[in-house]
Amino acid sequence: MSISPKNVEEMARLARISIDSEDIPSYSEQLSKILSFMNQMQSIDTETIEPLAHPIDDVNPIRADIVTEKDTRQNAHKYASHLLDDFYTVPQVID
Amino acid sequence: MHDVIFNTVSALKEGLLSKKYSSVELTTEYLDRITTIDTSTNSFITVCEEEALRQAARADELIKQGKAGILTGIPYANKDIFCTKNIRTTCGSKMLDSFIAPYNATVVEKCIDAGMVMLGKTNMDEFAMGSSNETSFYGRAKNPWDLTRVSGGSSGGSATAVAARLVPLATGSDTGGSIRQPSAFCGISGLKPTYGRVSRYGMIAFGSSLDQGGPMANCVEDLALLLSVIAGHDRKDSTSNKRGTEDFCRHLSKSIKNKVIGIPKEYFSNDLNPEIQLIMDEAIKQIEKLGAEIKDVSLPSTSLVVPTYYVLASAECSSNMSRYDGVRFGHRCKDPNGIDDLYERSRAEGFGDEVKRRILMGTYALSSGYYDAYYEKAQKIRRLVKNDYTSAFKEVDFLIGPTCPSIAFHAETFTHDPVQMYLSDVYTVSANLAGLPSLSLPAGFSQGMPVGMQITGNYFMESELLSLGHAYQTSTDWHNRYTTQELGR
Amino acid sequence: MLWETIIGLEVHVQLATKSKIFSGASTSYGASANEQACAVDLALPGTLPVLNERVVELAIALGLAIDGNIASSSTFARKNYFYPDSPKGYQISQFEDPIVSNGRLKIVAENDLKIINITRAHLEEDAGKSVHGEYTDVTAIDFNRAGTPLLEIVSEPELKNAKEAVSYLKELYYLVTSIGICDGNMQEGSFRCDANISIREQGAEVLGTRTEVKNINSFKYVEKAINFEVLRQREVLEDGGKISQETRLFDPEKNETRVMRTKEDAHDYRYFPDPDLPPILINEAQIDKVRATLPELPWDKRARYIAKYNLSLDEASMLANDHSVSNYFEKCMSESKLSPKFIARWIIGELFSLLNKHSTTISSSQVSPTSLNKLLEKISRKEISANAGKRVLEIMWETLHDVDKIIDEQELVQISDDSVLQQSVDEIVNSFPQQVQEYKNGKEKILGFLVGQVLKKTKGKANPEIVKTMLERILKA
Repeated sequence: MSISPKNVEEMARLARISIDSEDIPSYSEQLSKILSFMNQMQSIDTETIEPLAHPIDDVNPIRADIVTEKDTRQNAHKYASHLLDDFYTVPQVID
Repeated sequence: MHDVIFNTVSALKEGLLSKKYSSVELTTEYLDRITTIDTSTNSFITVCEEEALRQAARADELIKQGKAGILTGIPYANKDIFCTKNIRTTCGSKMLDSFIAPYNATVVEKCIDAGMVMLGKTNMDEFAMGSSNETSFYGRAKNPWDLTRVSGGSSGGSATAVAARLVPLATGSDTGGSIRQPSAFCGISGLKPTYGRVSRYGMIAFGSSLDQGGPMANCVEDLALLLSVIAGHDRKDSTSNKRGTEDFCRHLSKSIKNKVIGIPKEYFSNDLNPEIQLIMDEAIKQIEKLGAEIKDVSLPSTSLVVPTYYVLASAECSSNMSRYDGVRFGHRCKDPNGIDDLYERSRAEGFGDEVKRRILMGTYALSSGYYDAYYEKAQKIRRLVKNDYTSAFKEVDFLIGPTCPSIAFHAETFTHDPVQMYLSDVYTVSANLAGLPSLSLPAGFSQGMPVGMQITGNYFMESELLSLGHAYQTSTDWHNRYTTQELGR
Repeated sequence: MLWETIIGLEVHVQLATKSKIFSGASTSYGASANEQACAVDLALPGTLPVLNERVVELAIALGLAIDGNIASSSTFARKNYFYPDSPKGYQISQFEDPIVSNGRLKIVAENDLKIINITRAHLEEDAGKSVHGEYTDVTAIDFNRAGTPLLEIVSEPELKNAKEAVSYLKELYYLVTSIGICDGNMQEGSFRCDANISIREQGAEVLGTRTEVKNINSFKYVEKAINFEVLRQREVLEDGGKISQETRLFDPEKNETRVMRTKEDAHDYRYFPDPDLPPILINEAQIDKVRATLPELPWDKRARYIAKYNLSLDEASMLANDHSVSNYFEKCMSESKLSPKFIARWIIGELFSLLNKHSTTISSSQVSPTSLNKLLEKISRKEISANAGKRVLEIMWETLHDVDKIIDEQELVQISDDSVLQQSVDEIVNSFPQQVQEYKNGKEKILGFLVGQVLKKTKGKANPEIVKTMLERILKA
């Protein structure tokens, strides 16, 4: 199993990272090496094992339904760029 | 005054309380030292002189009023992964080169509440992804014992700053060894607490189910002091454990007699570097002399922990890095031509190679068709790793082995071979996979470079872990060694 | 060829909480841009989500109301995709084990009861809002809505046509608003619907390829969107074409659906368990606590109104569906001994038309249950006529004056006193000798005309019953 140049392009697209076309072969090579290293995992049978998502499972945290953050603009906008009338802006998006 | 830098934190505290010097004087001493020496070590990304002196003056006031806590007036540094209100937080990345958080990380807030004095923000691998500090956008932190060698990573700046005595205490974060490995490489002490012990709020996420903040210092006693300040439940972090704050110094001098120490046989295979093997043998003998019982144990999944760790860490990283999109904060490319161009170029320009590699790898491991074979498989092996420890801790109280398979390597050794770099994490990642507390201590020297010993304990056994470490340091002096290198201008 | 339509609905219900699902920012509607987007909502580095406990209670309430299974442990997952109004680059949602599963909803379809199964209901956070076209060359983003709690309720594909779909949606709407988990404000997007639509040959076993029509925000549009889409699919298939699996958007102005996303550019969401959020654990005690606060459900209420108050299904539905209406009705009932049907008809008939006229809802009614009761008492005691009552109700709405005062001022008191009416009755008998003769000749229907003349003479104040008796007495003598 390896990560082909086409796979690299697909992942780069999913992850929204532009990669110069001349760099794609080297990514493909490096990622393939990493993948074959990861494939060592396939050496053991884990059929009956439950996946573990959280290392410790004795917490059940919740917060009360109370508004604690009021006028959030002063804080968050102090260092934000690309604001227009308190809106964040991006190049026009067409649905 | 110049000698204070070789004092323990308790001694510094004594100096402050007895008015031998003020916190402002102490802070100035360290700031001066940073100015002269950090040109060699590159430990700091940001030094905040003014803010530090302000905090020191406030601490002096508290001391005068008799309101000093355990670390009031003591200088320290934060890894640049912890958000600091009104002081920039870069996470070692161009992406956040100009990011200023409107809040403090809980760890930072607790240090402020304790009256501590933050000298600055330390260097680190970009977004904590790296084992050598070479992925930092700000250049690598250099190992004070040999500037041509790496500091280790990702908390390399904190390790070099403590080792070069630029600061007595520092915070670090550990996702797969990022506190312990640089501690070992630089000859200092570092603790990765139990997952959930120290709040992750405001500590920029890399692998959220693995990340844990912790203290770095010159000795275990100092670690206990800083841990007492930063640990504790935080309502802002859902994975924070409900246990309250604790005084980790209280049981420091407890005897380790009859404690059972496990030696995982997988950590001492024939591949282990013979000098490191020798140093470990010595250290284990020393601990035996202190009254502990030594027992062989097995952690059967050891050979799979590194690939498992890299699948999980990369997968979580790929998702955690998605918020850096150039829209609300962080690097934004010039003149984006449409929304996708804004994303793709901002991220391509803002992230370094290793971060990109991990994002792509993690995206792959989670993508349709590969999830079961990689991400879910890794989660299953993660359970096996946890089970290994559960069995081991039925027989023993602690597990001991080397922190790293080698001493600090030369810069650029693994730049083009990520897999070899990943393999240097073989002993450290398991504690993150299982969520266990794990300590690294200096235990000897090989080729003039420090070698670290790693002690792992059961969940929330930090106190016991620290008392074992303290007992070891009481009977050895590896932790008091200081580099013979000429540092600074 | 005969075609059969199959529809499944996904409804996003905005949960009625004060603060967001994972942060302490307010969820109130209409704040100025980004005023309610805190560091967590903006996904600033290092921030972490913490679950709002109210959200869990509201999800449990829905689970109980649809007789579903409430998971003792359910997990949050990250749904990864880039969009400018999605601040983290992923949405926190639920994937593998939703908080509620296997529920059901009873609906009326073509006068029959039908059970629609509900596959699942899961918790998730809403995204921000993109504003297109307001500024030149840029899309502006308001993150106030980001992190608003949503419950996505997914039905089985068991609905057969647009009417059934609407009936399901309305029933669900009545349910979520009655149990108070949603404010039901559809203009503000509190109740939004996506429809999965496919058609197949009658009797075929395999489902046809489906399209998903997104973001339909009113009952009327749901019907239109489905009808359009069914027709479109039929035309494609009858022309020998194929339906492609795609996401479409309903355009209410053009009354059509159009392609938004094809299968080829469908997202790979890379769902995985959110490491920042441990599983939601729910025990029986928590469920019991919610159960104890659960109000009567619309179906039970309707059944009770029919059985206990002798109302028709239509009347019962009109009073029971909207909990503020049923509250009003029951307040009237609790304060009055009048017949339920009498009260019900006045609310449904006269009060509703006033609400319509003033385009408002019963919760802002200018006439309180107590005032309405007082008016109805007068009508039932025949102190004023029903016609006069309607006028009084209108004046009450306008002036907020007391019933007695209005009746007094408008001189609407019904005249039931024989001695007062005698003169008018006599006059009419004298003025219409021809009609009197016809009556005497056996044409009894003409009596109505004479009663009418007396009423006219008394400006509507005469009690018609009394007038009728008096006339009969005179003419039969």
